[in-house]
Amino acid sequence: MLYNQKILSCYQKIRNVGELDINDPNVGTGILGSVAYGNLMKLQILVKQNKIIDAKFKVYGCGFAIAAVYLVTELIKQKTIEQAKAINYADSITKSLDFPSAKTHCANLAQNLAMLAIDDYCKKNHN
Amino acid sequence: MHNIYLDYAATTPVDKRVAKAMWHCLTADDLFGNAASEHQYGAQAQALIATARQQVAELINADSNEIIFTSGATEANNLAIKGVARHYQTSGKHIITSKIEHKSVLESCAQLAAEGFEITYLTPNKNGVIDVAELIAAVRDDTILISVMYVNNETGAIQNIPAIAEFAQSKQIILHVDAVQAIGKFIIDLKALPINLLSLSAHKIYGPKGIGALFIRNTPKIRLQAQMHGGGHEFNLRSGTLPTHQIVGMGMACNIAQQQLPKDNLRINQLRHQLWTGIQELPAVYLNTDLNNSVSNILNVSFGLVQGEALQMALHELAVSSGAACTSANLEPSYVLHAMGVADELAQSAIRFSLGRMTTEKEIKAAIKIVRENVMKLREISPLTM
Repeated sequence: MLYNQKILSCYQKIRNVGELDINDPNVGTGILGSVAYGNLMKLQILVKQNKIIDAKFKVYGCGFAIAAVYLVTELIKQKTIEQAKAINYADSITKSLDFPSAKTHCANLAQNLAMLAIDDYCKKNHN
Repeated sequence: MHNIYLDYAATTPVDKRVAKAMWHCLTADDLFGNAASEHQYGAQAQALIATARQQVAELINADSNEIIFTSGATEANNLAIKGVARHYQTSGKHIITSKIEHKSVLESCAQLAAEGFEITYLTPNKNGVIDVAELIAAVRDDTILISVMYVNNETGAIQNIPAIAEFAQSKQIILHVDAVQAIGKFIIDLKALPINLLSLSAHKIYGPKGIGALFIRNTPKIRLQAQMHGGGHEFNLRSGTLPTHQIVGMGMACNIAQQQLPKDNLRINQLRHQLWTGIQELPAVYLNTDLNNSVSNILNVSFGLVQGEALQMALHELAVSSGAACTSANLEPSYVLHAMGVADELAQSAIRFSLGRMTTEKEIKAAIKIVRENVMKLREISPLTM
């Protein structure tokens, strides 16, 4: 399956594409995958006073991978670090975007990516 | 927003003239008889079939009795390859073919390999063309069959069939040519080309799906083991009641193709050129079709820096192919492009555009816009581009 209506809709109205300054101490960055693997995902969060005030992403991957990471940016914005850690992104993604079982690994990758970005911020700020 | 159909190499709509002719072979008040029947109903069907057979033969300058009808080119390929192999196996069990053949050829060969035949699969050059010298070098004392397609369905590349045919004839090795994507695109003259067996399909030339033909040259005589046994139809080579409506459809499609060939192809070639000109304004796009050696209607392009599945989703308003239609049940990367040496990253982002008789300039302009906008958008989303 290449896409469903929800995935297509995400692609058509997509937002939060872009990059933040990786050297900014308030930015947490997560990167995973590779071109050879067919999926390369990047997620960055900007944190001010323990709150994620912005999130930007880039994805090289299928429509499901793009939609998954995009949804992460929407879910993670305006959350505190603690709240952000507690969200089950994979679950939200597969349910609200009608992921077929063959594509759940994209949702899991997006979940891992969210944790990587949060962990990176925390490491930089000794949380 | 209407979808734009640019997948004519996968299948074509039935020409209205063809559909009309077919319709008259169906209902009780029309010509529905079984051509094998001795009565008048049978005679009427026979007459229609005889005309259609002649129309198919004329398109390739063959004799009417050299045409065997089958359920399609897949069956024609199976009959040619397995039919020859099983009949001639006491003379030898070596077959030469290429890595870029249609699955019906490759899987027939794989089946024969499982039965003890040896198959040599020739590798194409980077333009998708088989080197004739390599083919010649691959021939052995026990080679009984060469099977090479005329035009590759993914890239549109044209093989050097005249040279291969001349060589095969000189060595008296049977040559089979899958001409599915060649028929109706350029002239095939079987009085000039010493090809022994040629496969054709109706649904690539505005005929119905489910009907094809195998040309079997009369002289020199070659024998095939039949693959469909029963009432002995088609000279005992392909049993099964002849589907009059299908055959009439195929005949008429061939007839129309012959008449419209030069005009159709000139127009389509110009539209393809327009499409490529529009697409190549994008950076990092790569042609997998050799524009100097291809049929007029196929344009295979790889788009760098974008993922193939995302690209297909983004181009959803265009009906195009990624990889061959027959293998798209699972998204395996194109084996044809892989054989040509195209890197995996570019093979997975290849799109085959194939134009046809109904393609308009308006559609091409719209397609260019859709491709450019979405490739740029995906590259913006991708971490690979700054």
